[in-house]
Amino acid sequence: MRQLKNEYTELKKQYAPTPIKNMTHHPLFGYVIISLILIVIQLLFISGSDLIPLNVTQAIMQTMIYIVAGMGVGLLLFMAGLMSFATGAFIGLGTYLAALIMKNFMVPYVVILAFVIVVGIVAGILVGFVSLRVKGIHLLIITLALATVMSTMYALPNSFTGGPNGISKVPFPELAMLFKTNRDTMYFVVLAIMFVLVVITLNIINSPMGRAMLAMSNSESLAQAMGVNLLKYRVLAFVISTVYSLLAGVLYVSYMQSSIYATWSSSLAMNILIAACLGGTANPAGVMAGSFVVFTIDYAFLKNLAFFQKYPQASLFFNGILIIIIIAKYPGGLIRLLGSIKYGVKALFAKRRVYKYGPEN
Amino acid sequence: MALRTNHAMQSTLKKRDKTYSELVFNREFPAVQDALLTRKNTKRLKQLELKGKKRLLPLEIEALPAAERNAVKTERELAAFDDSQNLPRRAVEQDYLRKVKKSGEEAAEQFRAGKLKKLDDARAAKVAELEKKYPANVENKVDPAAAAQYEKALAEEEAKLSALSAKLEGQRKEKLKKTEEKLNAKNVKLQARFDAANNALHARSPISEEDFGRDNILSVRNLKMYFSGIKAVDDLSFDIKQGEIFGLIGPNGAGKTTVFNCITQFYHPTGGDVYYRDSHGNIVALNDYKTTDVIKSGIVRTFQNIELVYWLSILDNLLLGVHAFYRSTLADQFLHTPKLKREDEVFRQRAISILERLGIAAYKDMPPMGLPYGVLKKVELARTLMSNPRLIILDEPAAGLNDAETEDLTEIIRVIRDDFNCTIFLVEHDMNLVMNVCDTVCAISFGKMLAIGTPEEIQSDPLVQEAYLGTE
Repeated sequence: MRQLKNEYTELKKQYAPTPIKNMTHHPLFGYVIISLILIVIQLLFISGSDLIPLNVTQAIMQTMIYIVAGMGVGLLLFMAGLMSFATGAFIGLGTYLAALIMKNFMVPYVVILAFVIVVGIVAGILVGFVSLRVKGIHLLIITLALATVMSTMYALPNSFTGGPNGISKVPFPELAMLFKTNRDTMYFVVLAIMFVLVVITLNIINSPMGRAMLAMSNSESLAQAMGVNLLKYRVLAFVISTVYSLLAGVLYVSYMQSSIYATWSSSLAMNILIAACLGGTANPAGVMAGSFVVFTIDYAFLKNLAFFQKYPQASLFFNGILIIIIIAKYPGGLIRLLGSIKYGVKALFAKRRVYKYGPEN
Repeated sequence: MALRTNHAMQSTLKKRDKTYSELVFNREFPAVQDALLTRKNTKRLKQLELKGKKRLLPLEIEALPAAERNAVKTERELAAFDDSQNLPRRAVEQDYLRKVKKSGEEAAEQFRAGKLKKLDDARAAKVAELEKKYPANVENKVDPAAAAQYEKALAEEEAKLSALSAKLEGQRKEKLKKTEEKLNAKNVKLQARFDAANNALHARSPISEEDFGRDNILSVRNLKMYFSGIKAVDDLSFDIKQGEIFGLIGPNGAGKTTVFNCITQFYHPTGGDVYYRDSHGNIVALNDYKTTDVIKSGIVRTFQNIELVYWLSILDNLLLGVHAFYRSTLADQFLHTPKLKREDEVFRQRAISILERLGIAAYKDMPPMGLPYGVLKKVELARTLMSNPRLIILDEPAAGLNDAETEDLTEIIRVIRDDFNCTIFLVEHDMNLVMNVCDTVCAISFGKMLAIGTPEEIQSDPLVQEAYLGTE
């Protein structure tokens, strides 16, 4: 009897199934929860609830689009140790390409995405080779010049970008030629694509190429000694980042139905970079946290205040202060901050337990 | 013309290395799969056993003789009750300690006595209730129905367990057999392809076997490395035998690290040749290799300062050492296909076994940040072992270590040489280590050879003494 009981407790300690614990420890658990919250918000909005005003869903929508671009920037910045200001310009390129196809040809949405990915690969390879052997601040200047050139070209009068007036009245895409989307349903499409890209980003981080990029940014001689081809992974990082930006552009134009050159200045790229820096890691979680702070708060709440309506540029001031505080106080970024908050709460409970019941014996 | 032949050689080399890494993977995979399946099956079996025990436990109590059964039940319920009183009792003690400080010992004593009395009363009531519920003085007789039920349940559970065990074992064997058959069929083809490529390369050996020396693994001949007029390495020649520990010493600025960099192709030598017998017995000229291809030929190096990636765990740092041997394509890596997962698993198992051999398996999931310097040095050594090297080049392995750690390192260098069949080539300033561990020592100064021989010969060499201590 006693023996059976002892065996039972021993077995239970080692092999008791823990489905909930297993689920919460899954790397995608947090992302699934965030996606569910975002779905609930949109469902509330569609059902006509007063809880969620239009500008909140619009802000979340735009944030999700910038998260897609931001994940590419995060990979470039935190994995490969490179920086780029050309993100905004590439998002613009994506919008114009998608608008051109959607206005003139009836093709499935997947084809548009595939075409844009191919363009992104080519553009990324070009940028990667142009910026070969350039690092740090010099690389930043090259990409800044590239961004300026591109956004100036968007403003020239032509039929591709619509010149200074931009393009508008782009039709909503039809998914697989069956399902006509509108503004409300497009939200879910963007969410789904963002989720897929989150999974791919996590895969990149946890694969040999992610480790190779980290090694490369850490020490080039180490990377070479381990057989990492520097050129290949540098170009690859640029390609991934460019593809993400172009995909964000496609999503943007299929939701907003318009695109104007002024949006694609380097200040957008700067904001995305700020979001990635605020996040503090290449993990999509960091980029998401940073983007929600930088974009959602700005678009959904600050724009409603009279002060910010009068001075629209003041939100940049807010972002500036935020980044100074975070970078100075928490160099690890928002993710580290959230982590230390979680740790602090846990420590608080442990302290209270010790106060009440004495130390564990 | 020369370029074109070189290109042909490079592509053959690439093909051979790829085939070889697939072969190695195929050889290692069945064992890894076996271990994984066994672990999975054990877990499933144990979980079933747990479930069975949960069902059997109350049944077994019912099947006991009556008096014994009552005693066991009383004990169990009382234990549960005591558990529930544990926290309140501890809280009382804490309150007592605070009261002593606040309002004196007497009041606190009174307070505690009152509180404890309540708890004790509750316990006494529980004991009385249990005595009534499970009287001790009953006829000590087994309930035949309960006993029969227990026997039946026991037999059922055992049958379930053995059935599942047999089923899982069968599945495991079938799966392993399938894999092995598949891999064996593949391996025959791969071996043929590998042999063809290897023979093609063998025919292109830059120098003959006799010229190279049958025992040698590395032969440096008239190596020159000039940095615009500065002769860092000047006409240096030496041979390294297979399986020996070769030390390169010299005063600061003698060009020791430059020699390393020339061998591993970080610098392309101004003149001279570096011949090397690669993992497959071919003699190759390392000067034809790219920096990133050197690791595939079986040469790995470490660096003077610790070069670990601080954002990765120790295990992932080790996986970096095997980066060049991954066969997964970029698409596999984007989508984490089963191919990549299998490869990851094989390399992970290899990493864990190496860490266990070096005695640092406990650190495998930690980031390197904040770990002792000695451990980090060992991790670097473990990373070099990941690629199944033939020649390990250590750049000042004992730099920054204390005496105990250096002793440890000496031991580990020997272990690496003997257990992993490696030749070791090291640069070191710590003469104790060099004289202890090296079979052959080469002393250089200003890029020129001073002496080469056993440690004793080097110690007594007048030229070496002059270079280190100066002339009188």
